[in-house]
Amino acid sequence: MSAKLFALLVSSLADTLFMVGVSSAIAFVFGLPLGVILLVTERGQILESPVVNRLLGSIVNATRSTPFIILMVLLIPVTRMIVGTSIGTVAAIVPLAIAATPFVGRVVEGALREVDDGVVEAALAMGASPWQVIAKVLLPEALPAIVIGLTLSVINLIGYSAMAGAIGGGGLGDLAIRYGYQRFRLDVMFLTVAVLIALVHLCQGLGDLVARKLRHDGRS
Amino acid sequence: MAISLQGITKIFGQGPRALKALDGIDLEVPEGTIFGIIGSSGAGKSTLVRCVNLLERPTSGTVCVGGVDFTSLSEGELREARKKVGMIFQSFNLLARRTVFGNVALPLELAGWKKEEIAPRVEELLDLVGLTVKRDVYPSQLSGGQKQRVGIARALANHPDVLLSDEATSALDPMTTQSILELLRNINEKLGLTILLITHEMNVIKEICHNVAVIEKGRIVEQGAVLDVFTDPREETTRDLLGEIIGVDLPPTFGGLDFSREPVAGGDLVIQLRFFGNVAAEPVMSDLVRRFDVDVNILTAHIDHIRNVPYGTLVVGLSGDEARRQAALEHLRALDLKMEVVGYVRQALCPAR
Ligand SMILES: Nc1ncnc2c1ncn2[C@@H]1O[C@H](COP(=O)(O)OP(=O)(O)O)[C@@H](O)[C@H]1O
Ligand SMILES: [Mg+2]
Repeated sequence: MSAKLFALLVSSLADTLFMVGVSSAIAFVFGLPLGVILLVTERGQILESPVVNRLLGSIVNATRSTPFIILMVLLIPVTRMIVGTSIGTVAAIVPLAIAATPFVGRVVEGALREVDDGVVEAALAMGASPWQVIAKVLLPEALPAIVIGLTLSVINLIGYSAMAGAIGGGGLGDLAIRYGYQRFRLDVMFLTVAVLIALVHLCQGLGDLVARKLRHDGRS
Repeated sequence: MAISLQGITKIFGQGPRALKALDGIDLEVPEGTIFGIIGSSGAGKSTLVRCVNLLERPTSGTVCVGGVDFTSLSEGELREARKKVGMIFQSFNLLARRTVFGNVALPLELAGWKKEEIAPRVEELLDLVGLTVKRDVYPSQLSGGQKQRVGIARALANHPDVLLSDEATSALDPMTTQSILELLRNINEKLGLTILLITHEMNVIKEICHNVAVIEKGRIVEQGAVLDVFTDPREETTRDLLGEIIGVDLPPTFGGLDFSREPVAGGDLVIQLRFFGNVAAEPVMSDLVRRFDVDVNILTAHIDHIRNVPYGTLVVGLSGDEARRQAALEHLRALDLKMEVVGYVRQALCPAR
C-alpha cells in the first residue's frame, strides 16, 4: 500500500472518529434525559404524565422508524441552517446526532426499567423526592446496563457514519465508496472494512469491560 | 409513636373490575409495642402496611402516626414524615451497586446529613445489627439474613419513630428467621420503637408480638393481645392459622373416637386443658389424682411459649367414679386455666386399675 493511501486511510479514520465521537457525545447529552423522562412519566412511575410520555414516545418512534439514509436527506435543510453546509464531516454530525438521540433515549429507558421496583419503593419509603430517586437510585443502579446500551449506540453510529460518507460526509465510508467502489480498488475496500470491524470490536470490548467493572451483583 | 388507622378502605381499579383490597380497617398500635397483622396470601396485608406510609394512598380513611394525620399532608410534608417511618421488606430491596455502608447511608444522604455525621452513625448501626465486618461488601455477597440486617440498619438509620415490616422473615430459613426476630425484639426493647409487622406465619406473631390482628379479605376479623387471641381464638380463620403451631384440635389419632355427652359405663371422660403463665400442668394433675382419687391419663401434651410466657395444651382422659370426676371438673373450672369437656368415650383410654 502506498504511503499516500495510508495517509488517506489515517485521515479518514480520524474523520470517522471525529464524527462518531461528537455525535455520540451530543446523543448522550440529549438521549440520557430523554430516556429518564420516557421512563418516569410512564403510568405508575414516579412522575407519571401520560401526555408527556405519549408525545415524546411518538416523536422518538417516528425518528427511529425513518431509515437513516432518508433521515439524512430530509435533514439537509436543518443541517444547512445549523452548520452552513450539508457536505463534510461537520455537516454529517447533525443527522448522526439527531438519529442517535432517540436510540439512546430508548436504550436508557430500557436500562432504567430493569431497576427493581422494590428498590425504588424503598427509596420512596425513605422520603426520597422524584429527583433523588432518579439521581441516587435509578441512574446509579442502571449504570452498567446504560454503559452496555451506550456502547451499542456508538457501534450503531459507526455504521451510520459510514453511510453518511455516501452523501459526502467524509470518513471511512466515504473512502470505501470513492476508492473501493468508484475506482474498483478492492484492496482499499477491504482495508476500510477491516478497520471498521476492528473499531466496532474495540468499542464492544471496552464497553463490556467497563460494564463488568461497574457491576456488583455477582454476575461478573 | 402510636399508629392509628381509621376506616381504611382501598379499592384498586374502577368500574366492574374494581377490587376492594381493604374494607374499613380500624387499628390502634400503642406506642412502643410490636403489633402483628396476620393473614393468608392476598388478604390485603401488604396493601395495609403500604397505606401506613402512603406508598399506597387509601381510597378513604385516615392514617395517624404520632398524632399527625398523614393523609392530610402535602407531598413535601409527606416526604419529611416518611423519613421518620422505617420500612423493611421481604425481598430486602437493597441497592446492588452500593456497599453495605452505602446502603445504610442512603436514607441519611436523602435526609441531608453531612458526610462526617453519616459515617459514625452507619458504623453504630452496623454494630447494632452485627455486620461491622461486612461494611465494604456488596449485597450480592451477603446471605439472606445478612441482607435483612442491612435492611434493618437502613430502616433505623434516621432514628425513625415507627418501623413497618412487610414479611421481613418470609424469605428466610427458620433459624435465620429466629435471629432476625430476636433482633427486632431487641430493637423494640432497647429503642422503644413501635413496630407494625405483617406476616403469614403465626410463629412470627408468637415470638415477638404484643398484639395481633387477623385479616381476611381486607377486613380485620379478630384482634387483641396475642396471649388472649392464642388461648381463646374466636374466629375460624384464626383457628386455622393457629392450628398448625398450637394444636388446638385433637390429634388425628382421636379422630375416630366416638364422643358422647353422657357418661358411658367403663368409659373415660376426655377434657382439654389450656394453661399459660404461672399455672403449670404438673402440679394441677397430681393434685387431681391426690384430692379427687381419679386416674389421669395424658393423651396429648403440647408445651410452647408466646413471647416468653409458657403456654400449653393438654388433653387428658379421666377415669374413676363419675361423682369424683365431676368434683375434679369443678375444681379445674375454678383454676386460672381454660378447660373444655370433649366428651365421654366408650372405651377405657386409661390403663385399668
Ligand atoms: N397495585 C394493585 N393493583 C391491583 N390490585 C392489587 C394491587 N396491589 C394489590 N392488589 C390486590 O389486592 C389484594 C391484596 O393484596 P396484598 O395486599 O398484596 O395481599 P397480601 O400482602 O396479604 O398477600 C390482592 O387481591 C391483590 O391482587
Ligand atoms: Mg404481601
